Amino acid sequence: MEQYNDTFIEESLELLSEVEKALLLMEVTPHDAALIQQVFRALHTIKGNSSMFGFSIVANFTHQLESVYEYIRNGQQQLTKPILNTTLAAVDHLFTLVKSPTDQSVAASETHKALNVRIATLLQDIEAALNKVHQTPASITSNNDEQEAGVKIYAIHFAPHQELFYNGTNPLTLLADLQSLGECHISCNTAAIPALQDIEPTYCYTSWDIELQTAAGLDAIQQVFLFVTGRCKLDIKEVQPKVDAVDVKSIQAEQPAQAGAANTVVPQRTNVISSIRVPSEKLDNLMGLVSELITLQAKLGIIAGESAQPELMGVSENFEKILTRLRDNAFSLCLLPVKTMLTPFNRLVRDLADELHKEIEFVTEGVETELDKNIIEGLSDPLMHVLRNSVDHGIEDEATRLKLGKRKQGRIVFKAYCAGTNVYIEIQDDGRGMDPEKIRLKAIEKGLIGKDEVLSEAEIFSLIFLPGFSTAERISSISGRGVGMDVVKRKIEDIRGQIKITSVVNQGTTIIIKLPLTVSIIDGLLVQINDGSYVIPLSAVERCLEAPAVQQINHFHKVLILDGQQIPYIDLSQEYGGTAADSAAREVVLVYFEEKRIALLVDRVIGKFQAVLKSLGKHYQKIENISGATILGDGSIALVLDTIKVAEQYLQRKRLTHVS
Amino acid sequence: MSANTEIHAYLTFRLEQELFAFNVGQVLEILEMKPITKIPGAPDFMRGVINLRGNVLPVIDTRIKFRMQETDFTIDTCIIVLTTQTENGPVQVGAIVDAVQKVIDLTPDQIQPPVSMGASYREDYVSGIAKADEDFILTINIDKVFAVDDISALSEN
Repeated sequence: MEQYNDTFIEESLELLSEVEKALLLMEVTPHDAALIQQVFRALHTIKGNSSMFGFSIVANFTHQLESVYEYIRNGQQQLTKPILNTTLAAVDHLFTLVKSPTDQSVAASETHKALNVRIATLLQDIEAALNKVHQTPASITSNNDEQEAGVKIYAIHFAPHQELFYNGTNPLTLLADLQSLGECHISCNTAAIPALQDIEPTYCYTSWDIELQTAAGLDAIQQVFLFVTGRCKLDIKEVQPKVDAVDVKSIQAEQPAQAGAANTVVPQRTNVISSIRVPSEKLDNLMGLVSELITLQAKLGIIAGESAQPELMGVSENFEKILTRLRDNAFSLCLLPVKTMLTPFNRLVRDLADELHKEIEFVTEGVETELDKNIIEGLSDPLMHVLRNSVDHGIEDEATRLKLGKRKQGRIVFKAYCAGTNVYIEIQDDGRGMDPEKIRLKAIEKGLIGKDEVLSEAEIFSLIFLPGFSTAERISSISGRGVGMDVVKRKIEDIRGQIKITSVVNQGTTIIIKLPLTVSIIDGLLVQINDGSYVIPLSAVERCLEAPAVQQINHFHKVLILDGQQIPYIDLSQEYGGTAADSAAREVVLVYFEEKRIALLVDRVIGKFQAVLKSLGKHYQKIENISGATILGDGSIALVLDTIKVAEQYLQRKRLTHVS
Repeated sequence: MSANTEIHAYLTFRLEQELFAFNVGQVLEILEMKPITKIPGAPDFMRGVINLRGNVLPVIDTRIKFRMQETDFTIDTCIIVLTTQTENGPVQVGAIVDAVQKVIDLTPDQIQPPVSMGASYREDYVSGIAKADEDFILTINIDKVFAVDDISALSEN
């Protein structure tokens, strides 16, 4: 039973998100019949499933909601904002409800009761309004409007003679013709089929019973059978509807409507499966195996290179080629379009704007851009926070906006695009923006920077991401929850992203998040520091050169001069516990750090390396300058450096020693 | 921690001259000493990481963790792979010990609560004391000694 419960929960959650998405779309296009149909169908399925499993709380609750949409679907009720609001609230409640469908405490909660009342009120209102139009409330069924449109139900018995095929008639085309007339419920009688050895393959043994709902009339039906008159037994009767419409529909859903190729059975609808659902653990497993293969290939490459056998080299190279393709394929499996995470954002902006009485247009662009599912998961929280900030602090209230000559409707643009091996996500608002001077003063006040430190505008904006910095002059319940932008930054960095902010006063703020395509494999530069191997992500490297190529190194000031430019350097061998060796024999790796470049001194640059990133585990989570480890071809471990963190920590320590 | 209460088998090992024991319910395997990759910036007892069949496993020097004298590794030195319980599920960690002895059975009534004052290590590291063959065996509270939080907090200092 347990496993069915899980399936129920999973399926219901999925249906609910579908409903939520459709509801948000319906807000824009309230008359879209397809959307209404979708909502109704999803609710109907949830109701059906939950009553099948005996979760009566969920079933009853959904039933009420479904009834509301039944009216809307039949065109007896317009979709109004109160209905939408109630439904969204109800969907939220259902999310919790289906997770513990048997939990009585949820059902007893205030929310549950309140929502039940809200929905019941809605229903009453609708019914009251309808009663004014029709005198009898009983007439509000879907049968009603079918009859109004002249829809009749015919029971057709079609029993072809055995020689039907002889003049080239295909009974299935007749059935298809019938289906084109209206909703058709076809059942096939196979009782007359003899045992296999007695079958005469050219004979038709089957007969059909068809229940047809159509407005076309008896003539049209007879027309269909025109060419088989005399070659079959045909019986057409008009019948009174005896079951209500919903039941008919559910029967139809169970019965495959299409008649297939064989004339003895009515096969299941031949769905071509264009996509399948796979549990994400399986994908993770696949990625793990591919990663292991890559490590193994590195080893094979080394062995092949050392051995004198040219065949082995060839095999290894081919293997590598195929492996690269396999890796790319496996990666693409784990990619999801950005739009999959948009629903909660849409919802957040809508709800918040409502709460704050602001009018905000939320525009999304490039939502087809694909990202690794792990990144999408990691992005959700920080993006929520950023959006919350934009709605709360960014967009001004209507009066202020009008005074500034802006449109009264605020605008938040969510943009995703791909550039090189990175994906960028931009969140742009046209709100009040931020004043760099104010930020600077505040940072000085908080002691984050020195009084006469000269900072570029980009550096000033990046101060916002420091812990303990909050520009909000007022603390609101929405974004002032003690979670600052530093947390956002950290979460983005957890998925190896970078975050940047630009802003113009009264024109708005733009937050740009740069993300890697994948979290698990990176291209890196393998270097040796003391006796350990380290990997520097290639994306951070500008170039590397031998120390003698550097014209001048100033050990006291810790800068080196390259092409006439001063570049600060960090001696990693010294940092990591080694003794400063003869610097002339060493190599220099130039890496980007914020807008500048810094040089890292390493003992030896070994070469390019494709690193399968592995976590160092929870025990080392506080070691920030190392983002992970990778296993080299010979089985030893190389540590992956986070160059930005290395530089930040170095600078921080330097600052501390200056202060003390 | 139902595993601990149900399994009465203990793996004993030596640190200096003392005998200690892990409940086998939390022991995954015993490895020979392997090359350890040191992590710069980590506290001393965090020896580094090893490659355990393609996975990265952090190893902790139990001697240093118990504030004993650090020594060179010998042929008997080995790594016991343990699984510890944390809030976010099990975490694997390797413990370096001087020598593994044997697996013994200790019934709950053989193990007594530790009574000690001024021990050189934190008292909650030891969950009990048992006597077997004229030796005292200290059973170790694995989840405490190899806790992630404990380690992280220390590394900050």
